[in-house]
Amino acid sequence: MKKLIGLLLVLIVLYGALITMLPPRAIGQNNFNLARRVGQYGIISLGAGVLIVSGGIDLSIGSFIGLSATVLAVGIQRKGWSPATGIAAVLGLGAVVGWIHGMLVTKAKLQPFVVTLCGLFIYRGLARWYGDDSNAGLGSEHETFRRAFSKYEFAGLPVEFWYLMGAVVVFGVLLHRSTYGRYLFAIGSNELAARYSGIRVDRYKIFAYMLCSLTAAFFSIMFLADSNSVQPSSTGSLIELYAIAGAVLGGCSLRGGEGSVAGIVLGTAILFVLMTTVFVAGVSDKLEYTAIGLTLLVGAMLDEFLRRRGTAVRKA
Amino acid sequence: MLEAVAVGKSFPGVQALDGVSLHVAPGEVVSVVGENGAGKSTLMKILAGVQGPDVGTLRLDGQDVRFADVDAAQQAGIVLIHQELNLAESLDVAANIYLGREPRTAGFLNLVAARIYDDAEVFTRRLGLDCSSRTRVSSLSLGQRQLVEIARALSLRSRYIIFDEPTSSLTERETARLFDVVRSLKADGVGVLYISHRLHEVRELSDRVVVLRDGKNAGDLKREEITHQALVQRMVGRELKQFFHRQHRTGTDNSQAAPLVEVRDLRWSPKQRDGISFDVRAGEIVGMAGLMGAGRTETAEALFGLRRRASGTIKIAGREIAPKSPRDAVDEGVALVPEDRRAQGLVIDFSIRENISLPSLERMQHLSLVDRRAESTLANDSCTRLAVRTTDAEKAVGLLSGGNQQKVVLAKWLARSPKLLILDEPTRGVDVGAKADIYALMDQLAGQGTAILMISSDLEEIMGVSDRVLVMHEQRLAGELPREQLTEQAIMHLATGGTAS
Amino acid sequence: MHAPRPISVSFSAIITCLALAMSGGCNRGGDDKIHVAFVTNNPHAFWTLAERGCEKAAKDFNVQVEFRRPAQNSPKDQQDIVDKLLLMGIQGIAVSPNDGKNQADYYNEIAAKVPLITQDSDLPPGSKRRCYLGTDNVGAGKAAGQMVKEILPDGGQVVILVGSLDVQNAVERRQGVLDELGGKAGATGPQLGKHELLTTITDGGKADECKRKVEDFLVKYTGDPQKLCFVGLWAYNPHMALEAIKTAKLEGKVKVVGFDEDEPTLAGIRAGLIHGTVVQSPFEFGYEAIRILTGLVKKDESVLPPGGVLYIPFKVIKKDEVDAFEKRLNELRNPPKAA
Repeated sequence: MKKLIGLLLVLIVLYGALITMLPPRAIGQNNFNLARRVGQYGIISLGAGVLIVSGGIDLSIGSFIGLSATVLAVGIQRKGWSPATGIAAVLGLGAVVGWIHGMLVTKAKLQPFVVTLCGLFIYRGLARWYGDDSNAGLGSEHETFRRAFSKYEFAGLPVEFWYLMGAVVVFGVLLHRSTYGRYLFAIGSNELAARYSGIRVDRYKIFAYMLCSLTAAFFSIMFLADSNSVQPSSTGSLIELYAIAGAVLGGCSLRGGEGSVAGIVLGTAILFVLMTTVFVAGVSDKLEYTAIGLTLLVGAMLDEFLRRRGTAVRKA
Repeated sequence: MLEAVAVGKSFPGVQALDGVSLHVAPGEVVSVVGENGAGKSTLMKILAGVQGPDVGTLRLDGQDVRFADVDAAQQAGIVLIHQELNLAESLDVAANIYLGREPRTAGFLNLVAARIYDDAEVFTRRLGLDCSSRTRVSSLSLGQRQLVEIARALSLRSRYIIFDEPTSSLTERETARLFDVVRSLKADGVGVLYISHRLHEVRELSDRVVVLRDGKNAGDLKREEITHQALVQRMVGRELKQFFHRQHRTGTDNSQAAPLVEVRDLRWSPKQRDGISFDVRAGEIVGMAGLMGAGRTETAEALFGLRRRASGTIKIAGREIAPKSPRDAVDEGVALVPEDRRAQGLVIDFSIRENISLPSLERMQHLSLVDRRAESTLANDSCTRLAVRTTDAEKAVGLLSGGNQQKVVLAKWLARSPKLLILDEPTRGVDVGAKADIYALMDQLAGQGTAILMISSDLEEIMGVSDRVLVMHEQRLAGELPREQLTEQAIMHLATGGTAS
Repeated sequence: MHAPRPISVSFSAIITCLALAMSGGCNRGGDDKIHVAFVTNNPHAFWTLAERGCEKAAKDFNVQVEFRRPAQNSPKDQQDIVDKLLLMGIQGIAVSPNDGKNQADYYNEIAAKVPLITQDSDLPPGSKRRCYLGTDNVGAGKAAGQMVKEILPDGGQVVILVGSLDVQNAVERRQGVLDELGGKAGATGPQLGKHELLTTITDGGKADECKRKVEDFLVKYTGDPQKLCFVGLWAYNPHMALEAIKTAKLEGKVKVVGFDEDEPTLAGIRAGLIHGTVVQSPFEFGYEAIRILTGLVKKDESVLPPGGVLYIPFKVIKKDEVDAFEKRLNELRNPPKAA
């Protein structure tokens, strides 16, 4: 709880700094833009976060988004699929890819890092192969599809934001109210103890990988609807880092067993408000990443400092 | 002389030490005993420079000293050997002994000199560690690793060595060797502080015993005053009327009844010559004794679906079960309280409530949502029934003492009312008071018709609790002893390869 | 219980074999066709047409062409590819150096072994490449600047978008825009005649980042949107700028001119939301490069262009040419399968 309040304060300070730099009439538009980004990236951070809570990691998110977006765009544009077919195809692809990750981690006993690092290369290559290294997009057709996943607005906010709100409810119940979520935390904290308690550890870990890849597939749908252009060789690259950064910033421990849905969403919001703030503040392009990295580092140090001061040291 | 004078230390919410004094002279072995949470480890950490005291002073040879860190204490000749050994497993013995102090040659190249291997062997040989100093630590047994730590302490020319529960994971033979080492250290004029839960070790080794209770001194005993009774009384602050409860057993009376659990020809490796066969009746506690590595834990793991079986059948209430995972075993009414509480028994970051409900969660869900109320009720009832000492069930289980943690592990399984309860070293690292509670609980469960298989290395415990004892030796069942034939000699005879008479 | 184990060597070997099988093996027949290579600087879709040009030239001149794209915009990756090509016995190479200034020594060594020509991006003066062919990027930048003048004849504010300014063509195109607006070579801004260069936004080659930054720019922008024009130097820049402008609901007000022929860019031109684009002729890059290399391998120096530089003409595509251009583009991209 303390952690969430801390994150909220950071978000408010950053956002406050941002709006002082903007002309007043632009604030509405700025909120709209941020809501869309947090909506899009928040969803993959939730997927990555659930996986991180279970003690896993997925480095292939970005490449898989590239593959998924390519399959969707090429399928609709060149192979004449209906958008519904395309959506079903990429969600199915996400489920299969996540299942394979999970099987390799649980049954073949490979390290998650290794499995998904290999995936990072494999999916990027497949995307370039499937997309024949040429851009793909929807042109000016399929307005309904684009509206449904990006252009539609409700209550002055983009549809992506409402998808995130839906995801927050689903993931919140899943992680914090359901037996499944409890098992994930147990597995992430102490997999052995979970196994010794009669929990079907493998099954739940596989499901966590599937959730992660499914959110990535969903992201690729929103991505295509939003930007309408997919470059097989570069779309999605490094997005896994945004996803992981959002989750970790929001309090997920890479050691597993720690994290919350509210934290993940706040973490993502902080990340994207920070990027906008740095850009709007006129930090030189060359130092932009440095400014973002340093801010996050200072935040992490502050958090660790407060955590150490705050926790009761265990009685020896 | 190393002294702690009126030392106090508090952590947020806890007064760990409150005016504790202690001294140890060169060539003296002083044991420090007390229940978990009495402040032993904190005091040792202060002496070794891990933490500083809030109040009070440390004196070395009459001079007030203050250690900034572990390094400073080591410079002064004081070394703490932790319960969890702090070795770099992927490095060899000599590299560990000289870690951070490698004699260097070739100037800035910092090449570690080859002579550390010869130097290291001087110390390891003195301790009777029969391996080359080029052996990787990961290939050593726990007892050997401990000797490496002691060798490191010797190489530091330590004058005072503190052992924190050194024997908790050693075999009998390794323990005996450790005692020899302690005696030789004493003969060389090293002062030894020795923390242990095993009162017979304390009795055997110490010149003097310092008892702590709730962060305060609770009495000193001279060598001739050390008795089990005297120690326990000071540690607990009251007299324990009955330690081993044997009141409710039902399985012993009707010994003709069909056994609840029948294990036949159990093997987990094709290399085993003989399969393991035994029965456990409802309402009976069967002890399983044997040396480290005799195959006791493996038997438990095979019964619990953690280890693939190479052969054999397991029947519960006449029905064959074939557990392929703990999950299957749990569904069949088998429960295991594992050997390593922190690694296997508990999710340390979880609350008491969450740990207790973990195996039963699916019985407390609606549409796969957790029924918090049912969960809390279960947790609170369990805490009351097992006398878990805590303010409430929401506390993180990691903050409890070892004994209370073990009660939580038991509570986990009691909620599932197992038919067969396997306990692997149920009281390791558990303080005396909680031990008695656990024995009473086992007795009560047996009274309710649970079949209990208890693995233990503590002979006192085996003899005090069991209705019957199975003795393992080298992956097979060496023999079975009925209660009336139970003696330490009889058990050790079988455990060390003697044949049943 | 079980420690994660490393991927076994044999398993890796099997996968590698599979991968090789998937690639259909190497098509090095026993014939003694001339064997030349065309190496790009990144895997961007732009090069697809160049590949088609190479394929056509391969057929026309009866040579075998290796067409290779480094997976990333990395000089190291590119040099690895060139080294491997030499091992394969390649007889001539056309390359688009990632970092001409620092790769000059490396390519001079290569040029000593086989005929080497540069395309798209050149090595610094004095290098040993036999010739350069590509777009006159300064000229192309001027053409873009000309379009800015057309849509904002009374002056206005300009923002340049580009992936990165490490690459020679990006620097030259930008300079061309500045020169044209400022009316003299070497103009620096910010004031360029009647126009003002507000900023140059880079995005590291990531389309989504370009879009985010333009959105943020528009949020902060306080001037008259009717007087603002984005100039997108890399292929995705113009249509990503358009998407961001749509987010801000300023389409039709804020102007866009760009480069290259990404489909959404052409769609934007057709819809009147992008004023025009400067297109290169990558198909000719490929075709001409192979023609010249073939000649050089045959020791025919006459194929070399005068002065060692062959400018492949660029074109400006605006609303009225866009349909015809796209038709031609599709023909080039998907050549009839016959023959």
